[in-house]
Amino acid sequence: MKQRWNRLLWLKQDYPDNYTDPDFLDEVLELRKVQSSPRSTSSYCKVVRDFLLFYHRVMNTGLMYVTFALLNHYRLDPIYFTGALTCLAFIVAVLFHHAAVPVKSPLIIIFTMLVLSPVLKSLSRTMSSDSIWTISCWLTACYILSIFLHTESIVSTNILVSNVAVLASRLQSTTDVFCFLLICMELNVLLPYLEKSLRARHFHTCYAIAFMANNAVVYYFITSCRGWMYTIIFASSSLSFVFGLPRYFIYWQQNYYKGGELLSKWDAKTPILD
Amino acid sequence: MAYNIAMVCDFFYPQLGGVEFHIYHLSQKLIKLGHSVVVITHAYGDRTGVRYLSNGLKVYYVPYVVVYRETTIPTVFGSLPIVRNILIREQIQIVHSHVSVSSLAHESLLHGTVMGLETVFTDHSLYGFDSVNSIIVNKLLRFTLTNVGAVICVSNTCKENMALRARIDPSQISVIPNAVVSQDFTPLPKKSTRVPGQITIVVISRLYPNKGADLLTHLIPKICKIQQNVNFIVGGDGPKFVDFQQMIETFRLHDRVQLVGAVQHENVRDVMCQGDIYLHASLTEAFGTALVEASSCGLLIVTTTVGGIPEVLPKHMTVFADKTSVSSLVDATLRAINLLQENKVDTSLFHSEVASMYDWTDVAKRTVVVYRNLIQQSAFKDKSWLQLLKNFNYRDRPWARCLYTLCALVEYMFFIALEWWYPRDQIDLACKWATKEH
Repeated sequence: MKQRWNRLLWLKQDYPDNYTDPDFLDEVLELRKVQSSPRSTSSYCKVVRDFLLFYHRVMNTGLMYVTFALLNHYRLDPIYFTGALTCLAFIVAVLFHHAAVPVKSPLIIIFTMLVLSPVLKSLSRTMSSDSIWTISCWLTACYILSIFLHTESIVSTNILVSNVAVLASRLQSTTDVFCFLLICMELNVLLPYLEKSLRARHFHTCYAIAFMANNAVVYYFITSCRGWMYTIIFASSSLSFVFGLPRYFIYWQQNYYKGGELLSKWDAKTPILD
Repeated sequence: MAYNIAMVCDFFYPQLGGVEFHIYHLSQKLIKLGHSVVVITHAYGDRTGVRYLSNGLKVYYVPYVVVYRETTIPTVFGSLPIVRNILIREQIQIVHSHVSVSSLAHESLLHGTVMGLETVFTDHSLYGFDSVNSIIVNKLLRFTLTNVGAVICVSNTCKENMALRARIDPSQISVIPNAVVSQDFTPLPKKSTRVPGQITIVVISRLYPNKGADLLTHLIPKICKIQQNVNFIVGGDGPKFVDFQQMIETFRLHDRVQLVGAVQHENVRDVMCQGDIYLHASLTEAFGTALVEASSCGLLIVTTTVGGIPEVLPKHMTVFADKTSVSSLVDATLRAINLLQENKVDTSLFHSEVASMYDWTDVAKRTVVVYRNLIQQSAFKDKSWLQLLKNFNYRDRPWARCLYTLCALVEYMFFIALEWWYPRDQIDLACKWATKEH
């Protein structure tokens, strides 16, 4: 009778070199079974919701450019708008927290901004406008990336402030700079925070209104400035981002599956330093 | 029948390492068996052009840009003109590539297939499935191994890894282990110079995290504390060298642990022979040539059981630590020390046993069997370009499939252009090194 095959290299065995360990073939069958069985992936709706949230943050960022264009291009007087927005922010804060609103820290921040405004205005004045637009564009990209990577991190706020600092030198007056800075803070830091707490308290209608309003402002602005063509391009790419990309995401989840323990057999082991 | 074989790899002499020695020894033994072998590698410094090593082993050092750790820049088609020229010059029948991370090897496999030659690929290491690096290497493998004739792996573990990574039928993969030149790893004639009762543990490895350097820096102080008559010799260099120095300082082990730094390959035997136990704490290993070398020097082996290691040596030569933990390795080391102190193991026979197990001539003969099968089967295989293209198209998922087919088409066009621009009959055929009739 032929001797049983042993999984040993030093032993000369009466089997060809391309003989395969039968246990391995069983393992492969098992692996194929695991891989072909319907795998639980995230639900499409959930992924769309996550993409939608990210899209909403990008829209919030868009509001910053709308404000900038209104101040810089359309020469709007920002004082009343800023005042109204700030009052609204305070009222919302009072309504939401049902408690004494910490007045001290917002006041300190506002006064710091006020003091810094002339500095920000003159900081990048000598640069050409083209350079400013380019830097601002890249900073926005970094800002969106930082939102995407660390939602809770302070890095994104820092990038936002530097973006405002870069843009500030193109504005008309120190008041404009101060108002722009304040509005940006309110729209990009406080507003997302407010929207988040709306979602957390299940005020879905309020949230939907905020979302729609945000979109309406941005799309109205694009249409009135650049025409329908741009709106269509922008809207269709947003739609494919929110509804198309999640499909691909789920496809990835399905096909780039690790295979559990069977495939991690060959990874370098972790040292246990006990 | 004698074959004309081209060994292709980015890694070769003057660089020294496991793969380089594998290619060198295999080529030498194939030449001894009457075959003609050339090696194709990239230029190392001013070492460019054609050189000869012992026994007429011709090496083509192709001037090529090196990007990272002696790997050439991956261009897919860039190497076609020169590789085609060499393959025609040398009338090559079999292109034998080595190592998954060598782009020259991959590209030559593709060129060989398009030229209608037989192709063999040998892999020497294990890869995971979920890191970015390994995903890229695996995709590349899947492309270049689509039409490969045969694959050789150095252990069963390596073979199974390969079968899944490159989606190759396991019966296409042969397991042919590495070997050692046992004359170069002989034990000391008599261990009389040693102080009786004193035991020396040798570690020779590159001091990298995946070689278990962290385990060793935790283990050495523990063993030194438990066993007063045990000393260590640590050979090798790497990023973890400082950790070893710090460990010696912290535990004041200056007279117990000797750090010898990088050891030249020709001195490995001398370092090993100073010890009684060889300690191997690697966290991943396809074969573990160092284990075979150490046991050939008559050392008892203490090792982890990762990868292909359990297949390599018989039980009486090794003490296994079943987990990659410090406590498990300490336990295994203490068991090995006990075995030696109580004379329960006879290491004097290890050398002759290992010499009978691992021999390059045997490796070469088994490789020739792979070649022969390939040549015999090739008559029945459809190797038309259309069939090759179909194979690429059935290979992978939609995106990869399009990319594979596109690459193959460009390769065909490039090849046709070269056939027209630099026709075959204008390429001089190289004279073969005269060998005695066997």
